[in-house]
Amino acid sequence: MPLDPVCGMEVSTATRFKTVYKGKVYYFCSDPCRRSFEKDPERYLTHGPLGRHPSE
Amino acid sequence: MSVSLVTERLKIVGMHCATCVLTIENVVKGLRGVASVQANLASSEAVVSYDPSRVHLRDIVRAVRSVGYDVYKREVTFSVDNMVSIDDESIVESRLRSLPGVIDVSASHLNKMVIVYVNPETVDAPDIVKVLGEAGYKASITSEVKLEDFGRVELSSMLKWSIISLAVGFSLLVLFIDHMTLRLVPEGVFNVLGLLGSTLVLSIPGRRFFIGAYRALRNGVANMDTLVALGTGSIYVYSLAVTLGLVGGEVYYEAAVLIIAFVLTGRYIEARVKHGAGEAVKKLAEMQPQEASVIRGGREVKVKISEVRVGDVIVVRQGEKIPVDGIVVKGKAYVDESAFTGEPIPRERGERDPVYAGSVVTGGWLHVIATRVGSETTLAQVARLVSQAQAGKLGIQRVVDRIAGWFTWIMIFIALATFTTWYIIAGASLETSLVFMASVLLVACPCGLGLATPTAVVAGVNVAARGGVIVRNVAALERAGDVNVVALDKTGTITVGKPSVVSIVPAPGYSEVEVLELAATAEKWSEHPIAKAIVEEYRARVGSYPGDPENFEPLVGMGVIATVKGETVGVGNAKLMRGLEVDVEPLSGEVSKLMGEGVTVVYVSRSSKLAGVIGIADKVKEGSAEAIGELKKLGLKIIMLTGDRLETAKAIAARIGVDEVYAELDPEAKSDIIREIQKKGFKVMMVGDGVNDAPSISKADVGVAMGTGADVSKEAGDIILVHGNLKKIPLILKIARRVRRRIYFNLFWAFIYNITLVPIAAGILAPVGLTLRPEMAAAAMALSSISVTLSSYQLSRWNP
Repeated sequence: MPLDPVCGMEVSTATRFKTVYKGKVYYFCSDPCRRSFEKDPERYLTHGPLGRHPSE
Repeated sequence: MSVSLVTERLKIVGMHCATCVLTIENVVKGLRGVASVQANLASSEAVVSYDPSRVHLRDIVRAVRSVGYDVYKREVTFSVDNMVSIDDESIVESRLRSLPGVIDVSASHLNKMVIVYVNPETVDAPDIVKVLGEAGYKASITSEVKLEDFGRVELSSMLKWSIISLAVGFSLLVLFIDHMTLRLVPEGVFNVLGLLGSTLVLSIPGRRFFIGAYRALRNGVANMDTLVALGTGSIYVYSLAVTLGLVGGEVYYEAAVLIIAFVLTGRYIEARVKHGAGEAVKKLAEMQPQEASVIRGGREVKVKISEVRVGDVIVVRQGEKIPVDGIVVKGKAYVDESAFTGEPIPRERGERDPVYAGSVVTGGWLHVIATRVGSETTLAQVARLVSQAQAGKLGIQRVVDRIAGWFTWIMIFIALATFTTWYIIAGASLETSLVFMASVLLVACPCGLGLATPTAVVAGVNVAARGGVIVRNVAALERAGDVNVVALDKTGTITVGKPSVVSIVPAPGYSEVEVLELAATAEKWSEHPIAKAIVEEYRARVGSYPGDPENFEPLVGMGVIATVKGETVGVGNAKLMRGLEVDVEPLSGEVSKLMGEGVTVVYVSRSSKLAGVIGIADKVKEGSAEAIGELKKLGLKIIMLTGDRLETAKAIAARIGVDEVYAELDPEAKSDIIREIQKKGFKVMMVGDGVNDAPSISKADVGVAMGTGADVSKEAGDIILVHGNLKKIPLILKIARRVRRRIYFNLFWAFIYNITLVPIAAGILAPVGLTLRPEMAAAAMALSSISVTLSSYQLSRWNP
């Protein structure tokens, strides 16, 4: 199972919350996680997950 | 002043909150004549006390509806066999309207039907039958509107009696001429023959006039029958008195008989023409075949149409009529639906396409699974609606009816004045004075006046029905003549209502079909409407479905990523392309051009390279632009109301010539805009989807629903287009204008006729030797109604 790059949770590929970055599909647990990722994908890809849901 | 209040309990539809209670109470309390109102949320009821002399239940219902609720009503249809004239119609209507619990009434002597909308909490069908019975009318409850054969029996009996009366009348006329000249027949025989003949004619074919006059009198009104009865009656009684030697002078038996003969002949011709005018409905009813070939137990059997059930599979071959509404399960055929859509070109119908009862298979064959049979078919509903509409009344007709009601009394007064003037003031003989009086009575009949409107309406509704336009509310047809703004819904009204591929722009190295194949394969498993449009386009161009993708990943709000033949294919918006790092610059020129036209752009990429773009849009229906052009030529302003984005709406509007665009609206907002336009003094016709646009359609002065052909009777709208296409809108306006012109023309001549002939009948020109004998007066009157009826009949033959 893929990991949510924002919170670090395991998520199913069947989730509605997905995006594509540099040709690769990423999966999220929720819409806030996805939106945080879309705002600054490089941050999560280089520093790893936050370990919690983003506080918006 | 003592007031007798009526208290009614109304079932309110749509009341679901405490503010609803207040809203309803306030609006009803605001009406003049309402003493108290109490709405109850729990029981969804309102109890209203009102003074029926100051406010009608109809106004209360209208008030409740105006704030967005409705009152539960029941529609009851009666057939009243002895409602034979327009006067009967008004008696029936006014009687019922004054009954508590009656919301609205529409009576028509043309098909002898009365439709009553009642508050079932207060009054019910049997009460109405009783009230009509007390007024002298025999009513029976029918759930179905009679479609066929109304009046055929009556027609033949009218013809028979007309001929008999004419024969007797002319025989007596010959005797009268002999009496004036050769005197071959002795005076005694002449008198006795006259007495016998006229007694016979007055008491058998003439009886209807005396019965009608009596019935009218019992209801406190005077009508055409009153005039005929008084006119013939006075002549007959006078002649009888002469025969018995009570007074001196000549007998006028032949005049009495000829009057009955002429009026009856006039009515017969009138009825014939009216019967012909009802033909459109009859033709619709006849279109349903009587038999069907049904597959039962694997074999094809012929059964009566009444035995066909929903779910039966029916076989229809070339040249046959489809007997039910249904879905094609097998076969392919050209189907002619012109009978009720007015569309002349047969359509191709294959598996999974809907077909409708009454359409004709012009080539090929079909197996159809029945979904609606008998009185549920679209055809039957159309027939029912058209027939109900013809029983409806125009605003102008209510005015005319009221005038006609007074008119009769005024004419009776003028007739009496004529008699008094001649007999007492001018000192003429009893005979002369009486003859002048009778002539006035007979020439005065306002029946041309009464016929002018309804016959023209029936004609207009027929012309519309032939063109696939169902007029449900004839008053709306009348208002359509005043419309100066036409508001059009976009999706499904101007456009087809679902997205389709409008253009494919391949990147260098690709062909259109290659781009389409990539996209269709990638989107094959998607449920998105855009995906469906792409797959459908592929099927239409290539003739088969695309292959399966190896992998498929939908991304909400972006598009899909799929693996096709080992390569990553992306189909979606600019955001998806950014994520896939696809450079979209090569086609940016084409893309901005498409977006400027209101087209949604879908990018297609393969292995991070742009393969092309596909333009998706809701196509403008064929004929929409022409219809709008035609409407503008008629001097109307065209506006568009849509829930869609402003840019998309504007692009389409510019292309088809819409004057003003209001976009991003929900159904309520559409109706608000209509109200604002109305406030500026415009009359608005709203054309839209009969279900989603119901609020604005009901708000508009004239509401037109684009029928989907499924269930015409359930849609909102005064006018329904059977198979919705804007092409029919100019037709509606043309019919409306033509009907109105015809009504004014008819009314004008009917009035002129009465105004000129009444003084002559009264003997104003007697000093110069010009008088109108009673039988001539009757003939002139009959001619007047015949000419009005024929003038409308001519309209119903009009083929726009």
